[in-house]
Amino acid sequence: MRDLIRWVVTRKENTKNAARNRLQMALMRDRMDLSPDIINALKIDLLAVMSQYLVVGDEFQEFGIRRLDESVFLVSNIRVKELPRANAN
Amino acid sequence: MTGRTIVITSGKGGVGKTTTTANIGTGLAMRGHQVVVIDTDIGLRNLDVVMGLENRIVYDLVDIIEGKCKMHQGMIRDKNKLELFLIPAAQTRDKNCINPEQMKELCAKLEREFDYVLIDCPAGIEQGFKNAIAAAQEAILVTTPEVSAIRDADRVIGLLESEGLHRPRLIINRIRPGMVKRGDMMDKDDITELLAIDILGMVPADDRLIIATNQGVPVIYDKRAPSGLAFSRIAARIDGEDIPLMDLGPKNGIMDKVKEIMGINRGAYSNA
Repeated sequence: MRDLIRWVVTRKENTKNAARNRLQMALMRDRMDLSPDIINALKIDLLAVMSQYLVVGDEFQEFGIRRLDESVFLVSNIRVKELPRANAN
Repeated sequence: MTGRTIVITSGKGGVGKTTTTANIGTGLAMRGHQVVVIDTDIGLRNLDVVMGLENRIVYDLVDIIEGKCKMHQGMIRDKNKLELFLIPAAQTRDKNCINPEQMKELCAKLEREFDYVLIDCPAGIEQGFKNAIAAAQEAILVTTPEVSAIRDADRVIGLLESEGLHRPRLIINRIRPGMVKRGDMMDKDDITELLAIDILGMVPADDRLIIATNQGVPVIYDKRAPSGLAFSRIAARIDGEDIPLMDLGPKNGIMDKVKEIMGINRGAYSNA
C-alpha cells in the first residue's frame, strides 16, 4: 500500500523532465570531453596563477564540474595560507 | 544532373533509419524525382526487406565497388516506382571491405544520373559510419524520444560536424502523443533544445507502419497511416517545400474520442 502511494506521488512529477535533466547533464559532460589529463593540466595552471597573488595550499580541497539549475559551474576550493598585505607594494 | 547525396544516420541502432530511408526515398520518387537508395550496412543488410526487394538481389554494393558488375547491374528497380532504385549491401562481407574514397567515387557517378542519392547508414560510429557519411553533402539524423537515442544522436552531431557535415536536420521517430501530453515523453522542443539542431519532421508511433513493413511496402503508400503522412511531409520539406510543423497529439474533443473508438484515427493525430 505504501508503495502504491509512493508510486502515485512520484508519478505526479513528469518523468520527461527527469529524462530531460539527466540528458542535459550527460550531454554536457560528453561535449566537454574533459579528460582527466586536461583536468589535471587545468589544476596545475590554476595553482600557478593563484600563486602569483596568494600563498595557497598545494592541493585543491574540491575540484569538479557541477551543475546548478540550468548552468554548469567549475567548483573548486583551495586553502589560502597567506594573504598579501594591503601596503605590500 | 547534379543530385543531392543525403546520409540518414542516428548513432544508436533500432531507431528507424532504414524505415526512414525507404519512406523518404519512396516519397521523393512519388514526387517525380529520380532516386537511388544505398544500404551501407554491410553484413546486416535490411533496406531490401523493408522495401520488399529481397528476392531481386543479384549484385550488391561491394560488387559494384570492386568492379564485379556494372553500376547499373547492381541497382534494383523498385516494384512500384520506376524512378526508385536500391543498391543493396553485401551480406557476407564486412564494413572494412570498402572505404570512404570508394563511396565518394560511386556517389559522384550516381549524382550525375539521380536527383537524390540517399545513404542508409549503419548503427555505430566505426568504419561503416565513416563510409556512409563520406560522400554526403547533407545529413538527416533520426532519433526517438528516449535518453539513449538522444545521447547517441548528440555524439553523431559532433562527428558529422568534424567531417564537415554542418547543420544536420532531425527526425524524431516514434513519438507517442498521449505520453507527451501526460508529460512522460520528451517533446519536440525538449529534444531540439538539447541537441541544438533544426527539426525536419516528427513521426508518430504507428501500428500501421509495422503492418506495412511486414509486407515489404513503405507505409507512405498507406493514405490512412499517420506515420505515412508524416513521411510525405518530410519528403516534401527535403524537396524544398515550406510545410509548417504541426503539433502531434491526440485532440481532446468528444468527437475525436468517438472517431478514435470507431477506428477513424486519421484526425486523431495532426500530421507532422
